[in-house]
This record gives sequence, structure tokens and C-alpha cells, in this order.
Amino acid sequence: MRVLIVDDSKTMRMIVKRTLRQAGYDSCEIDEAGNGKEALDVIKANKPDVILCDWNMPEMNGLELLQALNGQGVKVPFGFVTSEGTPEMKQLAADNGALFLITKPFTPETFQQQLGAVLS
Amino acid sequence: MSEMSDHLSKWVNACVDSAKEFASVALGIEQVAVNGVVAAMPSNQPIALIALAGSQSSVQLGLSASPEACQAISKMLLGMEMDEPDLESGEVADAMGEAANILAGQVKSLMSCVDSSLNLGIPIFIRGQIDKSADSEVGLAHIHIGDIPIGVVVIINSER
Repeated sequence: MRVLIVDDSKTMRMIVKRTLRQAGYDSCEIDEAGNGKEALDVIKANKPDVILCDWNMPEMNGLELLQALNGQGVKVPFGFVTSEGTPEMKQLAADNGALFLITKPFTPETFQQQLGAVLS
Repeated sequence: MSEMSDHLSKWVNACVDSAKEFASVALGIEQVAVNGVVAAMPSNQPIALIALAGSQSSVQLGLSASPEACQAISKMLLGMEMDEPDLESGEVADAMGEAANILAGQVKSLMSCVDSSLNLGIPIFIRGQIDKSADSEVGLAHIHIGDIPIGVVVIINSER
């Protein structure tokens, strides 16, 4: 399984990688991007099986990335991993095709629940 | 918190509650003690700041700590042991900024009843003294996350 982690914080990308391992996804290949623009290049080069994306990033935020992928007809399971988890944002994420929104701080169990449902 | 307005107190309480959640889930530390709340800026310590802005609010939230405490928080966030080599300054800046980001996200949820239009900015990390403007309100909660002293700061900017 190939996972793309998109977050402008290197710290958070490391935390997501660690949590994936703790959730049992230790054999997956992981690509990283620092914002939505970089993510588009990475996706073009190596299409992931799932995208874990922050919301608030410079240059191109997570929602803009999702909308760009929708516009290009790129179909990849997409979920947000973000510090903002208001009902309005969850609805906005779902309206644009995100399959889940995980709020920071998160646990390996949360990853198991959300990713397990998507990848099964 | 007798020197603070009710409005500022709500924000400070939300920050302290969010800090407890952050400590518990992100750092694995359940013991968080509040050692006092003052209407003052933190003393000359590094601080991770992030803005929350909405139609009714313009607020800066911050986590202020000594360089040693910033190292400790950063290492814990990254799942490192305390006796591992210290992180580079840029790594600490990134980790503390992310800590402020997580805190602010929780605060945004807690304060959505006060202002449902709040948006988060991008965090910054500053090493140096920060002063508030004359017409801003500030609240500083001195807390201990485990045995690590941290200042949780709220700066409410007046309307211009």
C-alpha cells in the first residue's frame, strides 16, 4: 500500500508516519509533500492508495488539493488529518469527497478505524 | 483571573482545557497542573504563536516555554526519548508550531459557540520578548505538563 502524507509540518508528517506504524500499517510505502502543490507533483509521479492531508497549508491548502484532484478526475481515497474538526469543516470535507477527517491529536486506534474502513 | 474580562477568561479556560487534551493524547501525559493565571505577557522565552481570526474575534494563542522545555515537548511529540540528542533549532520551531496548531484547533472547536467564523493561521515560533499593544488584552496561564512548565498565552486584539 502506498500512502501520501501531505502536511507543511515535518514534525506532523513524522507523527503521522509513526501513528501509521503503531496502527499496524508498517509495511506501507510512504511519500510526503509539504503542501498541495507539491502533492500534485508526487501524485502524478506515483499514484498513492490513500492520501492523508492536512487542511491549513501555504501555497495550496488541503481543500484546494482535493478540489484540484476532483477537477482532474483523479480518484484516490482522500482523508484529512487536521487540527480543525468542527462540524462545518467535516461537512465541507465530505461535500468535496473526503472519506474521513481525523482531528489532531489522534491515536493509532483512530487511524485503524478510519483507514481500515477505507482500505477494506 | 480577577483582572481579566469574562471574555478573556473564556478563551484562557478553553486554552487550558485544550492543553490538557493535547498533553493526554499527543504526549501521553495525564498530569497537567494549573499554577496560576495572570494578565501579563510571558517573560523573555521562546513562544509558538498562532492566530485565530473571525468576524467577531482576533486572537493570538501561544505556547511559551524555556528552551529546555521546548526541547522536551518537541521530543515527546516526536516520540523520542529525553536522553536522545537534542533537536536542531528548526526542528524545535516546527514541533512547537505544530503543538500550537493542535492547541488552536481544539480551542477553535471549544469557542465556536462564541464565534463560529474562526479560522486558523499558520503558526510561527519566536525567540525573544513579545509585547502586546496598549489596547490588547492578554491572559497567561502557568501550567505544568508533567514536570514541564509551560505558559499558555491568549492575546485578544482590539478591533481597528
